[in-house]
Parts: sequence; structure tokens; C-alpha cells
Amino acid sequence: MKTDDLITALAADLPNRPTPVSRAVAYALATSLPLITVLLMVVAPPRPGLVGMLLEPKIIVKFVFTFGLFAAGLWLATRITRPGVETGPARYALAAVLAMLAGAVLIELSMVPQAAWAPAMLGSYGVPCLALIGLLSIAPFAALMMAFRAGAPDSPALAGAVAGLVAGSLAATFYATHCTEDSALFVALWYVTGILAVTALGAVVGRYALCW
Amino acid sequence: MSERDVEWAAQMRASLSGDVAAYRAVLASLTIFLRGEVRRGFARYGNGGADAEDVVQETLLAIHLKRETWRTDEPLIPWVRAIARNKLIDSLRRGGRRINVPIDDYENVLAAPEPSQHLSEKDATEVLSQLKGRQRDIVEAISLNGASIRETATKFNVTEGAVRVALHRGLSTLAKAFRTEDQ
Repeated sequence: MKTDDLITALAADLPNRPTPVSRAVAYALATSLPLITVLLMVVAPPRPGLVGMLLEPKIIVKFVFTFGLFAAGLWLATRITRPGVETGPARYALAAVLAMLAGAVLIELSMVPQAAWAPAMLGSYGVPCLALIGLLSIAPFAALMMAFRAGAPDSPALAGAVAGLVAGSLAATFYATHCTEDSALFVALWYVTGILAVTALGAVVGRYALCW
Repeated sequence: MSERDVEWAAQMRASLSGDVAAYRAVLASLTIFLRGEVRRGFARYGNGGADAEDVVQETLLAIHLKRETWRTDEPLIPWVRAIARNKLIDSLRRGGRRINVPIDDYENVLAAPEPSQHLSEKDATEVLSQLKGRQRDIVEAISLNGASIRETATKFNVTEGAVRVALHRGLSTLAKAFRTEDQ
């Protein structure tokens, strides 16, 4: 096919506007949020008295961490799905959220006797925490991966990782309403591991699914 | 932003709001621009650039299918370059060459060969053969024969909507065919 002929075909297809990534991501979240909510209610309902605890520092750290990762991930998503666009300030937002958790860990280490560090970090429900973050992230992971296909990332693997990060941290935000282990050490071990696992899976899937 | 970018970006903005003539104009300008870019890119990697027109076509297809990833308030050329660079690297990878040359190292060393006139008339790889059946008929009628959507609909006795869908799917399939050729 000659290039001029291709241009003729492209011009004929102009009225067929592709969906922008931002809108595709909005649809993905709008469809997966009800699913996560129902799943949470059935499998791991919010802990009793959650609303009364929302101003406790440990609870604040937990939600600022998970929701902060989600928000920073969405910001990264708007950049990483476009060709030739640096991640820029979104990367620093992500670093700031991680630094916030590191700060909370240090404060807790300074306030709690050393003998209590390991029990606080390991907690009692580490493995269920991982399993539930994984379970709750299935729907947003699939929906976001499809949405990201509207993009044109320089690195499909990196874009996939961001899709995984957004899905994993969204799942963690919901799981945090159920979880009764509020130590920053617990969050740093189990939440981070769970979210990282979904992020890594995203990189592997994105490598293939997000080629364009 | 260069004067050229201002003009092309304006044409692309008009295109995104449905101006077909502006779209044809900007794609034609970008084709010439891309031939130079792609040829220089191949030269940088010590490649003769036999597949240059393939990469140009693949880039045009990507520009078309991914046009919503361009922000209308940003310059157009860096976005076009980024797409071309991705497609060039894909093409070199398909060719089995190792990519470990820093991008800008050879820019000033290797002079770009003058674009040859005949290249624009040369057919790129026969990707059209990847299309099947009615989809192929419709893409051919519109691209090779320059038929309109309505004429094509009448010719194949289908609705205009069906022609639009087949054309769009056909173009997506072509993009995929470029991506997977020679692998």
C-alpha cells in the first residue's frame, strides 16, 4: 500500500474518535468501584466503629498511605500513557507518599519498645491481608489494563506497573477499612508487599497487553 | 515552538474537531517530516533503512489511532517524534539488532542522506494482505480506489455504519500486522 493511499484511509476514519485514556480510566474506576464495594461487604466488611476512629493518627497514616499511592498512581497514569512525556512531578508525589510511611515507621519505632517491634510488624493477619488486597484488586486491575490500552506508552511494562499500582493501592484502601492492625510497621510490611505484588504483575502483563 | 509546529498543531487541532481537509494536509506534511526523521534514525544505528517507508506508515497509523494522547495545548512535533522513535526501535528490534547505542551520539556524525524521490511511490510491505474478506475489500476500496464511505456502502450493499466499523477495525488490524511482521 502506498503511503498516500494510507492517508486517504486514515482521513476517512477521522470521524471515529478514539476514547482518551483519562475517560477510559474513569469508566474503569466507575465499573470496578461497585464490584470492590460488594466484594468487601461480603468477604471482609468494614470493622465496627471505624468512623469514630478516623481521626486517630495510625488510622490516618494507613489511609493517607493507601489513598495517596492511589492518587499518585493516577497522576502517573495520565503521563506514562502518553508518548515522550516525562513522569515529572507525579514521581515526586509517589516518593512523598512513601516518605510519609517511612516517617511514620520511624516515629513508631521510637515510641514502642524494641521487644514489641516484631509482633507489631508481623501482626496476626498478614497473609489474609495479602490475599484480600489481591482479591480486591482483580476487578480494577483488569479494568485499568483495558483502559490503558487506549494509551501509547513509551514503556508498556512501566505503564502496566502503574496500572497495577493504582489497582493494588485502591484495593488496599478498601481493605484498610476492614483491617484492625493499625501499626505502621504492619502497613510497611504487608500492605507494601501486597501492592508491590500487584504492581509487579502489572509490569509483566503490561509488557504484552499494552504494546501499541 | 517552531513556526512549523504552530502550523501543524493548528491543523491537528482542526483535525480533532473533524476537519478532514486539515487532517489530510497535516498527515501529508508529517509524512515528509517523518521520512527524514526515520531515515536519520536508521542511519544512526548503522542501518540502511530499507524498511524506512514501513516505519513511516506504521508511525502514521499510530498517530491516527493514538491521536487522543496528544494534548492540544502542547507542541505537536515532540509527540510525533516520540511515536516515530518508538516505532523505529520496534522495527530495529524486529530486525534482531541489539539496541544499545545512545540516541544522540551519532546525530552530528552521520549526515542524513537526501530523501530519494522514488521512495514515496514505493509500496511499503504488503500489510494489506493481512486483512481478510470484507474488511480487506472495504479498506482497499477506500484507500487504493479513493472511494467515499457512502460509495463503498453502496458498492458492498451494507450500511455506512458498517463500512466505518470495518474501516476502523481494518486500520487497527494493519497496525497490529506491522507490529508482528517478521517475528
